[in-house]
Amino acid sequence: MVFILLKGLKTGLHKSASAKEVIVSKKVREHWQNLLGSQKTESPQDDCQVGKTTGQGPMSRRKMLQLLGIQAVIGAGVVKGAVAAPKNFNPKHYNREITPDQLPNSQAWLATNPTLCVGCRTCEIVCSLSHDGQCQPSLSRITVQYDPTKTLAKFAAMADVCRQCNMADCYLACAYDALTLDKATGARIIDPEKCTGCGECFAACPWDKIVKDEETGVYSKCDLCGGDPQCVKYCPADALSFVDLR
Amino acid sequence: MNGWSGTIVRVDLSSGKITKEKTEKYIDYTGGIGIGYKVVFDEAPLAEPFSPENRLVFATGPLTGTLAPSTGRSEVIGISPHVYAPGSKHPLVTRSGFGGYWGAELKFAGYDALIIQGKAPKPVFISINNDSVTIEDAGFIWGQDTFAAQDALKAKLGDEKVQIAIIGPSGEKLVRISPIIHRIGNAAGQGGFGAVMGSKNLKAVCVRGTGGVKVADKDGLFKYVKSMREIQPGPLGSTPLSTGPLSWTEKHIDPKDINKQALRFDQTKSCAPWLNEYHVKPQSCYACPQGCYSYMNVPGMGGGAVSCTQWFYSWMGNRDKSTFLANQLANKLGVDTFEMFPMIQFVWFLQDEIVDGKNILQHLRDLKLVSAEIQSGLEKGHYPPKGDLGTKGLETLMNMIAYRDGFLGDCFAEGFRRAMDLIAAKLSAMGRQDVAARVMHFENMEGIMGGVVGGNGGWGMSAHYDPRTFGYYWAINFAVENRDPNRHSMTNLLEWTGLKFDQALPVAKTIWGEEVAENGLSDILRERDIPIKWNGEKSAQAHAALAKFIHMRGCIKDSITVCDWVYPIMTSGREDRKYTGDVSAEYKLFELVTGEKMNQEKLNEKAARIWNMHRLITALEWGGGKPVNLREEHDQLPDHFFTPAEGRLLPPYPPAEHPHPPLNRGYFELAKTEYYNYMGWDTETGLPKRSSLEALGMGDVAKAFEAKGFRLPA
Repeated sequence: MVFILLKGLKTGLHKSASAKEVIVSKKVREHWQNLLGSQKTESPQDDCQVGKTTGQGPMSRRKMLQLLGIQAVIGAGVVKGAVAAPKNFNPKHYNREITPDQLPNSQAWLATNPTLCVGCRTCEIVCSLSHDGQCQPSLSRITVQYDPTKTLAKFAAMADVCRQCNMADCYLACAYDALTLDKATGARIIDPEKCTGCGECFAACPWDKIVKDEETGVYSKCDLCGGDPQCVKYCPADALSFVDLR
Repeated sequence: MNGWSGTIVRVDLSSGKITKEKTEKYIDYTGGIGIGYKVVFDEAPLAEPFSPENRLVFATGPLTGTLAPSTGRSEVIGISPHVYAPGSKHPLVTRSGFGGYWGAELKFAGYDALIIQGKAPKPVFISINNDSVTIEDAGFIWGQDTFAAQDALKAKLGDEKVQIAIIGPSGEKLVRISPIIHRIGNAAGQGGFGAVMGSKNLKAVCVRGTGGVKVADKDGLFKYVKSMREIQPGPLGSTPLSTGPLSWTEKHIDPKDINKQALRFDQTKSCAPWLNEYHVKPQSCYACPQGCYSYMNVPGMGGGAVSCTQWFYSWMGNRDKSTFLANQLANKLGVDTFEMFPMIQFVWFLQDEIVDGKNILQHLRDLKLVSAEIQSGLEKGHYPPKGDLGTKGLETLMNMIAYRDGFLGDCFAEGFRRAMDLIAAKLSAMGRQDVAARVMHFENMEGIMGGVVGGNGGWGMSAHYDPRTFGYYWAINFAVENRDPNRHSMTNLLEWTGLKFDQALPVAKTIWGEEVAENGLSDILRERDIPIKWNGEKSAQAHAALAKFIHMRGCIKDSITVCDWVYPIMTSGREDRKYTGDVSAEYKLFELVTGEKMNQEKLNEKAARIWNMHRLITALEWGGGKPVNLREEHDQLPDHFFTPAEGRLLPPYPPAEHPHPPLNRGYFELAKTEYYNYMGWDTETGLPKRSSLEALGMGDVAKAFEAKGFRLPA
């Protein structure tokens, strides 16, 4: 049921995208694949500037999710839970002119085990100390949930991490090329030099995993520490693990 | 500044004035209790506990909020309503403290400490959100239990990450055994500081901060923390299921050692194993790898965090879900769990002692001092087979304390020691001197579990560990502190490590040298008829050296601040290290965080300043500014430690071992003399010498003391 639904979507997606845009997007994809070294391209393209937006863009992930969501409600209860209503949904966020499926997947992820998390927040401290030079959990890209309101009794203590989404909304949302892919892991990372602090990535992230440094006005996110995540190293409870498919 | 945030905030609840001052003023006293004692000494050493002048100081140290492990502590300092010192002209200063996230959050908000003074005209809470510090109306949560009120505050402030230190109904009613509660189980238990908050009409202190704590040597800190993980003894859990090693122990310790040396004690026996099915998981405070308390969720009783003596009802012999309810009620209503050990025994005692064919409780009933309902409730809480030691007795007791229900509830709310006096006085006034005399007999009570907890250690508090078992160093500790002298410095070596005495002794030698270890330590697991070994002068010196070690390490822990339960790291679970830990961790972490070049001697000097400050305040309070002899008047132990036990005062329930033979008063005095020498205190009066204070750079303090009080010995 779900399969058919997705298949139908894909057809629709291709129809709506113009030929030119598909080519441009292909270049972007090749560019990243080159950088990541995961696949050699036949005609290497060094210059892969993304062209200006031309009217109707490719179907965004959001739209797709929306469509899927609507259909899922009608068709299949199974997928219902998987489709979260996007926060601050705005189609204009999606301006990188590629279709989501053309963005190479991250090849490494953080995974958490809430049953082991002891709520010590060492991951938050380690993250901010290694990235920002001081112990400041408000800047940490990994966050620990402890004592949320009304749930004192439910003990939701657990670490929450960036999913390094395959179709990364943050990446798609950035209009300034500040979001790039880490060469080592494919992690979606923010270049602080290019970040203008516009907050589009923050608004786009469905997981609330983009962090703003109020002092510099720049956003940041989990970069998997270039393939050696410190939070995993220092977690005393083995509640964090590094899934590395490189 | 590295480590410190550099600012202290002061809230005057009478005037509503909020001011900020520099931490630098207190930097000679490091942080934590150092800041607290200095504030009390400078501003209001002779205040009554419940007067507006009494300072209530919440203080952190330079390590709080950093990566340094087990540093999520906040210290609470003030003149205590709980300390019982009838020989003193004024109530005494003391300390308490709690873990959780509050202290770190205060640092992130930009403050090292919070000083509270005055009294609000109506119930309020203090809200700290980074730069903004405000006094808000707390009418909507006044009277609520600590869990409901915390939820309501979070909802009102619209931020689930706000950290709250709060009092329950008991604090509002000035119950002298009311703790300050944080979250669902972190508590500043002893000292009665919840009642001090209540006396100031202060329901809660809410803190939210988004700043950070700077550290001097980031890379060094990372490296050192990693190396600590490789040698630490393992999880120090007080939870039924944290007996399994956390991963970092497993990585570095030979599995065959894990359940022998790596773990402090077998929790499965002492911590209500019948509640395992309700155990959610072990939990830690901020930056702590130990996971020493457990999250429990019991149907019908809600969720809560339980640790160590919060299992008190099971330690007293309960074997059902009431063990968890006891923890919930204590944390929600605000009752010090540690006081419950003598309190429950006192209630049993009132029912077991027969005068004129009737038990004391019945006498109280006949004199209309207790209602029939409360009487039947307390009787139900008697140990089996008379009662069932279950829910009803527990609820009756906890509620009558928290709400000061009736004459008896009012007495219990004063703590077990004051309750004895009050009940005896009332009985005498009503012509029953014989019954009153029997009530006072409870003074000689012994602790449970062979004196591990809950004995009468003086200062009107249930006390940790029996000096008859541990030694004269522990007796000195009882004598010179102003409260239950609980310090885990020594128990980290002997009691809770799982090391046998012949394994611990070589470790001790690496810390204090052969002479002190051999002459100062007794095997705590020795037979119950063997007294502490005594080798004359050498033992006096050894016990004095160990006592000084405990106090210096105690002041270091509470000022930099690290957890008392974890530091100093004396042992390791690793056989290849011959089970030695790393007692240099405190000064190394201090140096890495603050950037100040440090060694143990220099850190001890900082600690000595704090300990001398505590001594000076005590001297002022004891004599009300008039000359005092602390050695003779203050530094004493209850008599029952020096006299042979006549047999057990209480029936052998819960099963408890007989105490070790009594201490020798002569040896105690000899060890005290050596201790004063080591501290630079006058051996005749026990007062700090002026020259010693000057050597510590406390000349100005000595001067200020003499201006407030009397001339110090030269």
